[in-house]
Amino acid sequence: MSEITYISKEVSVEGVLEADDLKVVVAGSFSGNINANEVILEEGSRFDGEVEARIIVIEGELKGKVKSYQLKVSETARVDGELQTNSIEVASGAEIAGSISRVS
Amino acid sequence: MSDQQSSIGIGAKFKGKITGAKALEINGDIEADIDIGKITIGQDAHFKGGIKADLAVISGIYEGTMQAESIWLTDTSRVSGEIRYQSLQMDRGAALNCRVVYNWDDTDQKPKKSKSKDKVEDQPNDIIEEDKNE
Repeated sequence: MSEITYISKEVSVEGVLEADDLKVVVAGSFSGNINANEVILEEGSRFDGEVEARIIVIEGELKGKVKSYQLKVSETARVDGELQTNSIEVASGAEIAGSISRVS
Repeated sequence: MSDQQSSIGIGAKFKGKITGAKALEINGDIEADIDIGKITIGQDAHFKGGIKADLAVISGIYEGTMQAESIWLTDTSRVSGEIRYQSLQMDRGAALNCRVVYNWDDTDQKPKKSKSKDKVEDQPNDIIEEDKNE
């Protein structure tokens, strides 16, 4: 448990988080950059900035840049930005605005 | 999941601001200023920055100015900077290289002259000057 970074619902975070081979779960709001192995932006969360990880799951609101090998956008997600990924799964109901491209 | 407490994992590095948290567990490498209810700085953690808390439990490395009602420094803690407290517990093995102030006065964060004379004769003045910036 102590290896997971968890930002709970009522919490606002601003800054740079580097968790290279670790898992990050955001339920609150995060503004800035995240670098991790796996990032889950839970339903109700807000993210503004850049996120890079091997696996990214978006269930909340995201604005900015996303770079991942595997990206999952759930039906509750609202995404506005630049998505770079080699594999994407979008659930019906998800709102996506912006661009989608492969990781170069 | 929703009422789980916030935490920064072992090996994670964070620099920035964290607000709104009631409780926070830190196991990574953090540079931040935090105002919080309860903070736990784990054995593997390295925290640099200011803390205002009701309760602070320190087992890792702390550098900065900490102000808390209740502070518990466990046997693996390493502290430098300044701690201000109402109630302090220290375990055997805790390493302090810091200024320790009991019962600080919120309205005048600068320690009273008579007090500081007794307690911090050999401390550099720059720590006191930091208080003005808060």
